[in-house]
Amino acid sequence: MKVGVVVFPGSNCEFDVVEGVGNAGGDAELLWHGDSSLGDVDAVVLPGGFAHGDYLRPGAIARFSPIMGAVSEFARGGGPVLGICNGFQVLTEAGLLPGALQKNAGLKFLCRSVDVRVDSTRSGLTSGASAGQVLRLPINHFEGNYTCDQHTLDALQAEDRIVLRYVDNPNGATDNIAGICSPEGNVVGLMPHPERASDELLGSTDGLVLLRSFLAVADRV
Amino acid sequence: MGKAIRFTVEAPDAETARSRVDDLCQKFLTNPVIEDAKVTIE
Repeated sequence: MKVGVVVFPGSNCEFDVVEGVGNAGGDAELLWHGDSSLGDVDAVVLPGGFAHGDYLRPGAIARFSPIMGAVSEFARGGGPVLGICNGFQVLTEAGLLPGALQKNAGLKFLCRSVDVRVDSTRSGLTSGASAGQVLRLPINHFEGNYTCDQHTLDALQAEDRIVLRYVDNPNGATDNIAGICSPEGNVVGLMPHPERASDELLGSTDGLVLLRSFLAVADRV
Repeated sequence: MGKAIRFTVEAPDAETARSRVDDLCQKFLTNPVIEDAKVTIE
């Protein structure tokens, strides 16, 4: 079982994700955004960073990278896809997840650890966690303020697709949303960085339960 | 206003140019979930 981590020009968390997946007991390799195939990977992660730069909008250009066609096809076929931070922004821009990430309320870049609560275990990222479980995870973003129209929010709530909520909302996100999933649960996006909480040396291992869930789902597909 | 983007479009007439830019706004230049676009042709 192998996880592919997509590297865009400007990605900067790809090695963190490879290490984090390793800490969770999996194997990961890097994929290049300019390739049009995912090779033989069983799961895909879009890592954090600044894919193609944030000059127009985070994720706006990344959705046109050649590999995104393969990522979309993989996602639509039920393959596990995880977008972390900038990867979440790319997934919304690519239409694989609804809504958008706008500038933080208060217009400050936020870099600190926050508590997030697992509110749904039906996603590939949270299936091994317990509902109500609180995890301490780092956030590191300027555009992490999740927003969507009321119709989308109603659907996310009704379909139990809000997988993680902030305990103390740091960025103004609608309904305290820190992470959501697709209707089938295989595509997940979140602003916090589970890979940066995957070793005692990093100050927290709370991200491991998420990464292990993701690996377990990838193993079953 | 968040940003102003100025560029040249080659098109047979203004209507075609506007239609192309409207399409560009929907798919790329703006995110319709959080942004509106106002197009002006000079």
